[in-house]
Amino acid sequence: MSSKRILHKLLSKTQNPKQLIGGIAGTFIGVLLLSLAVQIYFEYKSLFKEPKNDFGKQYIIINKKISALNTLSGGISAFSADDIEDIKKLPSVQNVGSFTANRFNVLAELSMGNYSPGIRTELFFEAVDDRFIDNLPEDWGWKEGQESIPLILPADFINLYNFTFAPARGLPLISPNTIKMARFKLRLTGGTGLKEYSGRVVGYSQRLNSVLVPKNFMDITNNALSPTTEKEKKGRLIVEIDQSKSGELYKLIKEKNWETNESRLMTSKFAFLLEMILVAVGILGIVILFLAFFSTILYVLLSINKAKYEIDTLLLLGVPRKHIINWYSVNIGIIYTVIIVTSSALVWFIKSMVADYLGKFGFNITAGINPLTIISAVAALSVVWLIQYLSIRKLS
Amino acid sequence: MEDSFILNQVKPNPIRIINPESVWNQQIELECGKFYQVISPSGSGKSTLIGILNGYRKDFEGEISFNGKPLKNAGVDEWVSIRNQKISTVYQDLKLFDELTMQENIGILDSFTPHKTEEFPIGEWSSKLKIEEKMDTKARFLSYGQKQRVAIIRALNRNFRWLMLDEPFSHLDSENMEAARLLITEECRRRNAGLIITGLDKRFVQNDFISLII
Repeated sequence: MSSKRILHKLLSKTQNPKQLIGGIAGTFIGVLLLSLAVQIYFEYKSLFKEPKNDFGKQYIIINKKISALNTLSGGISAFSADDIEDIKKLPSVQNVGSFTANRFNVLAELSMGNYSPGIRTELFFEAVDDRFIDNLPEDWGWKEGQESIPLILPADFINLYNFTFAPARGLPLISPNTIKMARFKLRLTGGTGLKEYSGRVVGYSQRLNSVLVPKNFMDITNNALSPTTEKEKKGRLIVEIDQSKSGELYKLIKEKNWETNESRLMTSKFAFLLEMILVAVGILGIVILFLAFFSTILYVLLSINKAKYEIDTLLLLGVPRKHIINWYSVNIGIIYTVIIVTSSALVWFIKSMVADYLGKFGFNITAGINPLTIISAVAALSVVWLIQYLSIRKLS
Repeated sequence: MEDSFILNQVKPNPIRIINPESVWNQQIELECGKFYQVISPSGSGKSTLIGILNGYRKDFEGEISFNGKPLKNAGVDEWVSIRNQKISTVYQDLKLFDELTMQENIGILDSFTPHKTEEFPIGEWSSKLKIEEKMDTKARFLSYGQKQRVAIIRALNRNFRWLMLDEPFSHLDSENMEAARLLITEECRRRNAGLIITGLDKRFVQNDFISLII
């Protein structure tokens, strides 16, 4: 008879499965919560977060208020060189950039095959230095003579279309990736002529609420189609600041009576709140895990105590201790492996359900579990298992 | 001498009165290959000596060494390894597993160590002790006298340099007692092992037994 079977025969009669189930259920819930928190954290990071190198930085877009005066004069209030200098002087400000608008007309055309009239719309572009663009796509950029123009759309654009325009018109919902496949015909007309390009959407910006084209394309085309001797008007500025010291800038904005993208700031506050909730869920998972760990370790120690006669006798007969320690540790290990596999499967299942649901609203969530989710569950249970192993060792 | 025990000023703690002839508080060598009977006029302390020699009683003063190695501070694993290779013991409470059959109890080491029961004449021994028909019976269904004989066979079913028996014959009739005594002394002589036995009936004490007085 194998040592495992003999031990099973001797030691398992001292077990009480009802008590064990409580510990297993607690461990399972703890691991599941922890895995979900980790998984949601990574999903949320990939959906909303700015790239890694932007950590601790914040981007604020400022413009002067539009008043009735602007409506009459037909021009925007541009920032003066002094205004920009005031902003740059603030110690928290790291960079200031300005948006360049198009001085030509843009007509975009999307043909839908030979039998459909297609969609035609007027558009407007803006350009800004690449350093201010979040999630800069790989195929961003333009060289003179290049016929295809990459565009970046505001991420809200698709939501606006999917949630308001499409349902009202009975049009199909569009996912961000579908739009990327479309090719637009762009007709640019200015005082000196007409140019035709093809446009394609290469990415989406959470930060910038504008249809963006590469800066060099904008400068060259502006000069080619509507040359001007006037100095470029800086109507909107983008300011890169140290997030922790944004107060000074807000003070200045208030003093000068300018406007900011306050709603964006709300988004970032919401993102912060979400992050806090996820951290709380993760910590809750760990707390439950450790409560469950104490209940399992108490259970194991109790059953070792109940099996004291059997264990002592085996040791007195000269049976090496490792057999007994291994029997307990391997069995706990098997239970933990099953817990990790089931909870990962459940996370995967929940995720694909949620991905299907959110996919309808234009969120593009990749399939599968983040390896770090499984790694964190394995790491947490390994620590628990190791502590249990050491206390079993000490006891027998 | 090889595989001998040396007790140096060993005495259980606490102990009330020490008999001047007793093994306690003296320097004593228990030589491997010799036979000892433990005599306790007061009727106590025999199991304490067996416990100290097996490493599960730690409540004593003085030094104990085995094969030249001091063991006072030896850990569980070290003692388990000594028991595994050198000492075989029949404990007073026998320490059988009630849920295992006689055969499983006898062959318990097969599951955990390289020991092989089939190399030992279990059938011959159990017929000598008249217990061979109980091989497949769970220990819980055996009488105490039968259990004693199973425990003796389990103790013989391994390699050892010392055989220790704590009141092994208490529930045996004189016929079985004699058979068991013969088997035990025969096996110890054949293997040139030491023997320590407690609670031995005076009728069975032979001349070659050295007395250890408690």
